[in-house]
Amino acid sequence: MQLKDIIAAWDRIWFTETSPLPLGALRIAIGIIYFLFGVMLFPDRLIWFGPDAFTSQATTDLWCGIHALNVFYLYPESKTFVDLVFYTYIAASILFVVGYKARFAAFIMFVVISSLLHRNPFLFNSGDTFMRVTAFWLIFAPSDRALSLRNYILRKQGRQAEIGTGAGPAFSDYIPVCIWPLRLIQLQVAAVYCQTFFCKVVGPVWIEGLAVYYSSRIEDLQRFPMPFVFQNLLLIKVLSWGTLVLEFALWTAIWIKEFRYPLLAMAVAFHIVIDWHMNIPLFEYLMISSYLAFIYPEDLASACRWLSKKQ
Amino acid sequence: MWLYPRVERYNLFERMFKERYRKFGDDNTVWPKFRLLWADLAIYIARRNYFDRDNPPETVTLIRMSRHIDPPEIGLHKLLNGPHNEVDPFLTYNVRADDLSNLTDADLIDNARGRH
Repeated sequence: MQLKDIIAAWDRIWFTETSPLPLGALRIAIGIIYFLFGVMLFPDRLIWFGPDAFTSQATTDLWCGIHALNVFYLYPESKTFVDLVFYTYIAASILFVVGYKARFAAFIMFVVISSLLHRNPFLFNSGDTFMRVTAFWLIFAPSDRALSLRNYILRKQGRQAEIGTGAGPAFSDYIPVCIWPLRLIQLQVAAVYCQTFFCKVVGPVWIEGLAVYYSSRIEDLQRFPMPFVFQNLLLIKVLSWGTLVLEFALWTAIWIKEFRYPLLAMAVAFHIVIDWHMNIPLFEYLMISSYLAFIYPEDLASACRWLSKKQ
Repeated sequence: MWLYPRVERYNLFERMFKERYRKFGDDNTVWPKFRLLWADLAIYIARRNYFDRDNPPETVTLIRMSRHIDPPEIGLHKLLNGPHNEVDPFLTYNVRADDLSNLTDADLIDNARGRH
């Protein structure tokens, strides 16, 4: 291998063009999660982020040690401003899902999620951090170039040349877009599993195979019981070690084409089982949605054709 | 007695909306690493439990109730952990007048009606 081959490979990975279909599908799926994130926080918004919240902004600043991106600094004593922030976020998430001005919508979502995390970080989990970072990448992603209201409007205006013929029944001839925003999102998903893998293996509980036992006994996390499975020590150990193997594969073997779909299928099943047993709203579906970034455009086009025939 | 929302006591639908309370309380706030948050939480509780100008709250005591998960040799055949048997009063806060100073009569009425 020569240096020019390495440079060519680098260019191929980051700077080729691809169909916007994976980004379009990802936008819809993950956009629904962004929308639900806002809707589910809305009822208790003043308890978490209002002027009389559980924690004050001053305490949060003291805890964090820095002043970060946070629109709540603008009107810290205003309940109306908290309402306004939420209405803006929910409107942006709807725009994002339907695919109109999606980059601008992603920018709004990134600013609001960052503000919420910097106003009161103590109620958020790693999935929320993943949403925030992904929203940042989505600012740069042309995710509304497929399956979008933008395309619909352009088609109605007779500007077919701006969207390509792929907007028709074939779903395979969109005007290509730069691949690097999609690559960044893929890397972000892989980074999640890399980080969680190393967090787990440094402690003894996962290595001993008992992590699933302890996590299944946390009563305020439970949704539906799974008798037998969590009462059998051998199964518990298989599930604990299997989790480590799967999470390791999801940031390593996932880049190999032959392994990608089987791994994604296992990961979907893995997250659905967790969601059945544990009440961690949105997180499992957030991760499942993010897998759309790994689906090859031609397969997504086939799926879209199949779905459109079904209707 | 003011009870912090306990997610396991809600129905399945409500649990989805209330999960943030588990994260904020059970995972974070009640543990010594987060002692910086305790006074704020005590002030919040004092303000929400202020109904009567002649009888303002004077102290707030935060109590953590918990239970260690039994090891598999003992707990494998039980799907639920037992009742909380560890009680730790981890903060007593003396409420200051300015903690309650900007509450209006309408706020007190809302407090009495539990509108928060």
